Amino acid sequence: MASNKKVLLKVIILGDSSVGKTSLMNQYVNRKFSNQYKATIGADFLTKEVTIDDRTVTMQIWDTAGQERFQSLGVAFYRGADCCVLVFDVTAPNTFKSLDSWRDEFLIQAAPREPDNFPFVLLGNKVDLEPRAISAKRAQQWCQAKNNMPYFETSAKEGLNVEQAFLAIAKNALAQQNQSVDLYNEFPDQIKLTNTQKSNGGGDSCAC
Amino acid sequence: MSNNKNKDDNNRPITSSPASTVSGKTSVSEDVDQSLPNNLVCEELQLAINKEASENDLTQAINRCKELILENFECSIERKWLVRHLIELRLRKQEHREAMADPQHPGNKSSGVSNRTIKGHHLKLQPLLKTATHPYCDHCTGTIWSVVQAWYMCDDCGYCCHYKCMSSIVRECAHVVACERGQYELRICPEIGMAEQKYLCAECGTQLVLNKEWSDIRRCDYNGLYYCSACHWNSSAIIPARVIHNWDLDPRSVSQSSLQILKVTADRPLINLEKLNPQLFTRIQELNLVKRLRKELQGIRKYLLVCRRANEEHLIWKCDRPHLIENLDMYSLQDLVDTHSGDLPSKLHNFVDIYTKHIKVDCEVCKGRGHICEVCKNEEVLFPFVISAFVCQNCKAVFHKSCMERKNNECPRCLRIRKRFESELESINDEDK
Repeated sequence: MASNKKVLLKVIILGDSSVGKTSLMNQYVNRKFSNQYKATIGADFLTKEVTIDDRTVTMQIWDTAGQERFQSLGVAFYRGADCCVLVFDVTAPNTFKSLDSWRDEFLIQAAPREPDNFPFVLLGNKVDLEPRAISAKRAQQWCQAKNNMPYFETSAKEGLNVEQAFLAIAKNALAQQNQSVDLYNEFPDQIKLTNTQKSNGGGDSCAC
Repeated sequence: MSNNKNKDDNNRPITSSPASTVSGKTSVSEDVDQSLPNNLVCEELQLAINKEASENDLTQAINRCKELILENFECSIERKWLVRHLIELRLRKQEHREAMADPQHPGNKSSGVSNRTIKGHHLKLQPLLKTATHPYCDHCTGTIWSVVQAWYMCDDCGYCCHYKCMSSIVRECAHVVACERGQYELRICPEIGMAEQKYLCAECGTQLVLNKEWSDIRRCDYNGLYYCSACHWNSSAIIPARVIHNWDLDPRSVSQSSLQILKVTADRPLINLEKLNPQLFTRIQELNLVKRLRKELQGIRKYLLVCRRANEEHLIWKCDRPHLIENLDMYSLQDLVDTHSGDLPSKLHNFVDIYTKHIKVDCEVCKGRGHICEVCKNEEVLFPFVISAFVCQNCKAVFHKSCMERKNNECPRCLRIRKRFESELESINDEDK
C-alpha cells in the first residue's frame, strides 16, 4: 500500500562555512566538483531519486549557508525535515566544535516530535587533505554520546564515501518517516476526541 | 468630458500648451487632409507617404498619383486628397533637388550634417513630413512646417529648431543642465528681482521693456527669473519645491528652459523626501501608505535577489520604476504626482501582490527561507517584510510582534547565542586552569 505512494524525503545539510556542504551535495547529485569557493546565500535545494529496498524515493536535499551574514534569511525549511546531516572539516577543529550548536539550533527550529530519536548523520569531510586535526576516534566518540549517530568520513573532491553516506542518510530519513506515520496510527482517535469534547461543550452551553 | 481632461492634466506633472503668442493652430480642413481615404490605403507604399524617399521614389509616386487621379471620379474625396498629395509630393521633390544642390543643406546626407552637437544638445535631423502636428521652434518660436522645412530635434531633451536657427541656439540642453545640477531648485520661486537681472531676459538677454498697457515680461515660477515671451510660453508645470514644502500640486507657468528641465527629470529619483520634509509623511496619508509599501518591497527584494527562479523570470525587473524598490527615501516628481492621484499606491500594492505570491505560494525555496516564530511555534511561515513580524536587529530572527511583547521584547535566539558563548568561554577558562 505504502510502497506505491510517492515518497519525498527532506534532508538538511548543516555545518560551518566552507566545510563542503555544497560540494558534497553537488558531488552526490551531479557528480561534479569545483575547486572554487562560492558562499551559499540563504538556502537552496536539489532533488535526486534513489531506490531503497525496491522503493523509489525522492530526496530533497537542502543546502544551507554556513556564513553568519547570509543567515538573515529564514530557516522555515527545517520544518518537516526527515534527516539532518551535520558536516565538519576534518582539518579544521573549529568546525568540529560548533557541531553542538548546529544540532541544538536545528532541534529548536525544526521542533521534531521526538528530539532524542531524530536521525542525524555526521560527515567528516575533506579526508583527502593533510594534516588531520580531528581523528576518526574523536568524531566517533562524539557520535556515541549523541544517541549513536552514524559517522562517515568523506571527500567531496574524490567522491569518496559520498554515495554510501547519502544512502545511509536516505535510509535513516525513510525510517524516521515510517516511524512518524506509525506514531499517528497509534492514536487514530486523537483528533476526534477533541472534536467530541468541543461539540459536548457546545451542547452544554445550548442547554443552558 | 472637460472633467476628464482636467483629470488627465492633473496626473501629469507637466502640461505644455503651445505658446500663447504664437498663432499657429492647424486649421480643421488640414487635419482632415492628413488622414488617408480608406480605399487608398493599399496604395500607401507607392505614394511615398510617411517615409523618406529618394528622388526616384518621389518621381514614381508622382506618376502613380497622377494615374490614380484619372481613375477616380471628379469631386470625390479620394480625388481631392490625391490632388493635395500630388502637390505635396512635388514640393518635396523640389526641396529634395535643392538639398542635393546645396552641400551645406542638412537634407544632403553626403555632407554629414544629419547629427550636430550644439550646447550639449544632440540634434538629429528629422525626416520631412514626419508628423501630423507641427512642432514649434524652440529658438525662434515659429512653427516648423515639417513638410518643407528641414528641422532638428535633440535626442536628450526634445529641443526642436529649424535648420536655419541652429547656429544661434542659446539654451543649453536640459539633460546636461539637470545632470550637472543633480537636484531641483528647492526654494519656492526664488526671485532676485528685475533690477538684479538688469531688465534683461534670463535666457536670451533681450531688453525687457516695462509697458503699462501690454506687459510682455513673464516670470518663471520654478526659478523665479524673468523672461521675454520668446523664452517663456506660459507653459505650465508642477513645481517640485511647492510639492516638497507645501504638497501643492497645482501647475504654474514656467519658462521653456525650466519646462524642459522638469520634463527630463520627471522620472528621475531626485527628491529625498525623508530629509527635505519628513513631516509630510505624517500629514499626507497616501504618502505614508507609499512609504509603508516601499518598506515592504525592500524586504521582498532581498528574497527575490537571491532566488534562482525569480532571477530566471526577471521578476524584479517587472517594476518599471526600480528606484522604488531599491531604496526607501528617493522619490521622483512623477512618483509624488502619482501618489497624489492614487495611482502609485495601487501600483505598489500590485507589485507587492505579485512578489508575495512568488515568495509565499509559488517558490519552494523562498518559502523555505521564511521564518517560524520560535515563541509560539506556530506552523505558519513568517516573513520579515509583513507587518505582523518583529525582526530582531541583532540576530535577524523573526517573530510575531504579539509573541515578542509577551517575551518583553527579549529575543530568545540572542539569549541562546549569548548563553552558548558564555559556556564556551567557561570551558576555555577551565582548560587553561
